[in-house]
Amino acid sequence: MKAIKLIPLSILSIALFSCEPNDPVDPNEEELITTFNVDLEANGFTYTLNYTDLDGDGGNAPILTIDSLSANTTYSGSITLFNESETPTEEITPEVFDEANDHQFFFSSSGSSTFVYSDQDDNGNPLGLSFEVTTGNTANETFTFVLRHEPDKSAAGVSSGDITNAGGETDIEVSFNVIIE
Amino acid sequence: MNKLLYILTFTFGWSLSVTAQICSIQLKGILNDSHDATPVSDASIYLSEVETEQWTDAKGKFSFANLCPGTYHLIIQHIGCPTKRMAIELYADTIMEINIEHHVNMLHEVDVHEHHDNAMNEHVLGINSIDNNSQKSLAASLTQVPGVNMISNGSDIGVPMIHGLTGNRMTVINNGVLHSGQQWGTDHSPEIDLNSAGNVTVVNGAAAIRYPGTHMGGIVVLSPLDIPYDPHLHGKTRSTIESNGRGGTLNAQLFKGLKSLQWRIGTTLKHYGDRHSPEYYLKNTGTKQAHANAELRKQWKNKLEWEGYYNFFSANYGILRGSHIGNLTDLESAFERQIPYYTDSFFSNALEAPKQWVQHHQIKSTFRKQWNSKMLEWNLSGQRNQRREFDVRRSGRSDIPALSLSQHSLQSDLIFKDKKSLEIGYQLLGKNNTNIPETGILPLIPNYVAFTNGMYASYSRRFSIIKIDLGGRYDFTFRNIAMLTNSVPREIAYFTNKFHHIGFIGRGTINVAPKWKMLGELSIKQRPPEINELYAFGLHQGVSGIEEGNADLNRERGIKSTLQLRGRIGKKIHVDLRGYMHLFNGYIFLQPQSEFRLTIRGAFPVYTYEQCDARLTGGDFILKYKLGEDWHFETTWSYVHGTNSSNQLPLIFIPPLQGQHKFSYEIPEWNSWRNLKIELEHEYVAQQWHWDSTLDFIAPPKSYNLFNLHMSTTLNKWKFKPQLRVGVKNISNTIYRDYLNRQRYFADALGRNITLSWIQNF
Repeated sequence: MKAIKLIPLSILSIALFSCEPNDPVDPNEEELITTFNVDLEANGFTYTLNYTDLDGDGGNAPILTIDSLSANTTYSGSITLFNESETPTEEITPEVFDEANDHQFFFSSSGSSTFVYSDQDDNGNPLGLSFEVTTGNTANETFTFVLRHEPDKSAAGVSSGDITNAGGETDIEVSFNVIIE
Repeated sequence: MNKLLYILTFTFGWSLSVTAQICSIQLKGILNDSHDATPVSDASIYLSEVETEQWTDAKGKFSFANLCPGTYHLIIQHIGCPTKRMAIELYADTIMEINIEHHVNMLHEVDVHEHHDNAMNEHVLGINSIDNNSQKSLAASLTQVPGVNMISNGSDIGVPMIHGLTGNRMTVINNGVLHSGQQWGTDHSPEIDLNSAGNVTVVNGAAAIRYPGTHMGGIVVLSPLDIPYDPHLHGKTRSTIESNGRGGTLNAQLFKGLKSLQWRIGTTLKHYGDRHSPEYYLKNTGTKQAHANAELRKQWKNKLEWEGYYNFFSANYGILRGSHIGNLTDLESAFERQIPYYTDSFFSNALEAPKQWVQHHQIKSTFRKQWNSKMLEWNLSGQRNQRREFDVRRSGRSDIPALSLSQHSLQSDLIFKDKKSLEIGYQLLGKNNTNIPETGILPLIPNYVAFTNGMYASYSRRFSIIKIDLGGRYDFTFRNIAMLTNSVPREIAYFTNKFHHIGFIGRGTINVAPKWKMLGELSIKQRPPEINELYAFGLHQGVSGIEEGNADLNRERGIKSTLQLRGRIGKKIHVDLRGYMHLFNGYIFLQPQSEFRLTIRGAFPVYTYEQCDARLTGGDFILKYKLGEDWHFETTWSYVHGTNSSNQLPLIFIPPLQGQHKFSYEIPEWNSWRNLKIELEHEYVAQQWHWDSTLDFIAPPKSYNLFNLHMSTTLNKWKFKPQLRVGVKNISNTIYRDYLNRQRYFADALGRNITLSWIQNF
């Protein structure tokens, strides 16, 4: 019977099927942002707000480094983004800069500090890698930085920094509890 | 003149004499219902070669006279039956008996046949239903079966749900083979084209024991259609165009059925652009799909037969652009929108990220040997499944899949059957699942190899008015797993799983009274935790949170008891009533945790797989009423109530109460139109009231009512007899959202859709 003759073939085909799974390959997470860094400069001094989460989503909690700021002072801010899970560390900032039309940072404070954009994309809309923040009186404030990918920059209020109608996907949303003294 | 008359007379006389000598064959026949052998009257029997039609009389009889020897094609049409085509060879006077599948309605058949053992808790979508639903996905076509729902993500991505169970708890068997893909995601629809099947059966219970897989009760079985004997090449096309999505589906098949060799080839193409809700276009919701299948069957004289089957499926599914979110704030702002973000005011065919790309190959060989009413069957099959899912990403990475999986699987079955009462089988399944490292993202599930060895036995026997079915199966699942850890730098961790799991079923069907049958069934089933339930780790867009597997999970165990009553009241009312209770121990589910986990995109909820005791209680009800000779009314209702018995909270994504009512008018002929059928349908879906705010982001959508209209007929005026169908779904263009469609978080469901279909046999 033909079926009988084909049974060894069946066993052979199953034997060819390995019992061990393929070893997973480290996927080279070049898109991952592990580090969000804000440098704030005033009077020749630089203060830093830094968020670092080397193992990505989940796992260990992120580490936040927050310098105290002076009251009623204007700081010029610049944002840099890194992927420190790679060796050497990769800077992500140029990816956002190159796609300026499709990105925008939004800033907010729980207190009286105010933010102003100091850069623009090709269409004259704000990007937010550079900005100015003017602190209020002595207080504990929460600064929140949001990076949106593909927002609707022409929607009402978006170009003046109002996130309400922006849409798009959130790539970064980080809050810092800042002491203003 | 005389000479001419002579020639004419001669010619005429000669031809007359030939008729008298040879073309005097009589073909007589009787048409029976294949279920209970009762005669079928008023059926049309058309003999193509002589273009003559006869109607069967009250005794189901028909006859043709003065036929010449040769091959003839018979087309048998009867209301409510799939059109039957057959070829016969005539040498002498012939009396034939033809059996047809006669149902008032193929789908919601509730007729009681005393000697027909079609299991009561099986629902078959026959060839008529497949013809009518050719443009739909497998899951969408099954939603007309009471107790079956679809959990979906948009228009064409859908997974069937049977009595509240889906995903890892539901199995699809395609042509005898366990369909092997990425069943773990509710947004991973089975990679199967409905048109490749001859019929689709939804099985609850007993017959399911012979199929491997992790199902806990219900399975979907697709079987190819028989290829009837006919010495000529024949074929069929099914074409449908739809207004919503501005696209269509084309299916073409060619087949030939010789005495000992039959083959069939087929292909399906689908192309749809953006679908439309009642008020706006749903951006990026198109579908592009291609399918091909080939089939060969060969019989030898010693009752040995072989079947070879190959099936290819490829699809690109767009996912609503406005449903792609980065974090919880995005999700919340999407809920508040009347119209989703990125909605365009124009129609588009473009398919961009987010989208899914899948490709599936299935190849199968079957040997079957019969002797003395015993049968031995050996199947060997292989499958390859590739899945790539694309997200909206930075710096042109939208073209790089965010998830890329490749799976190879093998299945071998050895089955012995004796007189249809005893069946024993052995099954070996192997699966190798690998993440393709092109994504640049840490994979959600690990690489693994899994083997399952299964054995089953089933026995059925009739004792006067009661029929008993018994079955049991045992499986052993073994897995080797290689997983990238979450640490920096990444390391590879290895795990091994071993699970024993069993199934048992006992069922009794009793003829309680003339025309009344009752079924009682008890089934026990276990399944091992699946790979995602054990080891998933990472941000899962499908749940908008961080999903964590739980390596300590045990087998899930379920006991389901079903009681069903089916019968006829008088000659006009058919009733089918089913109630069931499914108790689970160790029901695996995603439990939202109280903590939020901080990521660079903000805080995300954490979901961990946990086990609880659970209870699914439900029922299905069908009532059919014959209003008059040509008028029918039908109503079906389904409800299932799912509760986590450990904390008395509801289970999430359990279908709400729903009902369907249908008025149909059906006449055998109207002028040259045959089998004219007009059907008005009302669908009602209630709001899911068994729900808790801790389980979901937003409250379940409100109840809704939809009205649909279908008209179908066969145009007998033309020799090629085209079958035409017009349908309007959601006539009133009602705005609604469906609880089981994930797109409900972001957008309204589809608006009015006009469908035009043309089915052509040749």
